[in-house]
Amino acid sequence: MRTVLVSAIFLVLGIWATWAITGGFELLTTEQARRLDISRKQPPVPGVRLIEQSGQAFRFGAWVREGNKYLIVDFIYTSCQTLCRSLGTEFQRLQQRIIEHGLQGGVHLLSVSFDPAHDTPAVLQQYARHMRAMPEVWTFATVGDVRELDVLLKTFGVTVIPDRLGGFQHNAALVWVAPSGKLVRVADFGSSDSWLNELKRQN
Amino acid sequence: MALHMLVQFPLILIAGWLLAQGLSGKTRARLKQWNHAGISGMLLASMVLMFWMIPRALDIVLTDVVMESWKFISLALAGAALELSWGPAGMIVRGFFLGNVLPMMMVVGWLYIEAPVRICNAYLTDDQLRAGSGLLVFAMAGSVVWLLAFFFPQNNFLEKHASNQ
Repeated sequence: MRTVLVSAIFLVLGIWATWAITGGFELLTTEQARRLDISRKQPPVPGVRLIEQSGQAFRFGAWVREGNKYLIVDFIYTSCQTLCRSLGTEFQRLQQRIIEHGLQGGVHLLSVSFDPAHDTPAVLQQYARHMRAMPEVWTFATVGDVRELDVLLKTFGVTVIPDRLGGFQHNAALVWVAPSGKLVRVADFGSSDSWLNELKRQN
Repeated sequence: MALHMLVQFPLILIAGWLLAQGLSGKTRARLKQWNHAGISGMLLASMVLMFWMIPRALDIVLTDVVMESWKFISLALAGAALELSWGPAGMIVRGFFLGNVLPMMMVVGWLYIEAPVRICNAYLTDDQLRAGSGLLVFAMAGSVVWLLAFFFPQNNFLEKHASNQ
């Protein structure tokens, strides 16, 4: 009888713990948790100081609100050979789409480098040219102060870990920021198109 | 990640097992009233092991000190529970435990190997691959040992250990 009681307690505790870690049996990984968390809580963009490829500095949060546009943000580093390349290709494609739809006034692209030591404004400028980025649609930036990088990455749920080859591994996704300055959604490759179409219909 | 799952987890389990061996006969007898045929202990151990195979749990302990402490406590408890329960447990209870944990290890290991993306944000891809392969090897080795023990009970170290007590 006592065994049944103890077993029942263990069972309840075990199910509770699993329920808690999986967000009510909805997710198994940190990445899924990150996405759900952003779309539910919609945290505001932090007011960290960013420097864009022209060398001009701006406060992230204020910049979004003043621009009064939707922002699609990804995180990269320019010496990356793998994931950032596909992010770059995706952004090139989205840039094309934005221009086709005439949405330059409503949507802007932002690539933030998490490697400020290497990616100076000059390097970003060169990278932007290499990616054929149009400044009125696509901005490249990095943090002005390395200490602010953590806040930024944490808000966007980006985990960056150095690999042993001098590069980094990081989770990649496009984060949509509303004109109000709030993070609203994490999109996979290709899934931003429906939102762009939606915006076009509203315009 | 591989070090975490394949080296640290087993070491904590073994530490718990060894700690439990230090319990006096009196405490053992008292605990046994709550652990008929090792059922509660095996249930506890299997749930703790399954919990620590969830990818998010592995990520979270790197950033959360409270969860990190719970990892040590729960795995040590699981090790102790195994020590106290393996002997009294019959084939059915052991089968329940191994039938839960071994397939889970295989599925998780296979997932880590086959996943096209990193499942944990805080670990490198090759580390994930190593952890996955290690889990598969552990699970297969566990199954083989279990089968051997089933057919040749005399050769089973754990069986002997239990009968020595």
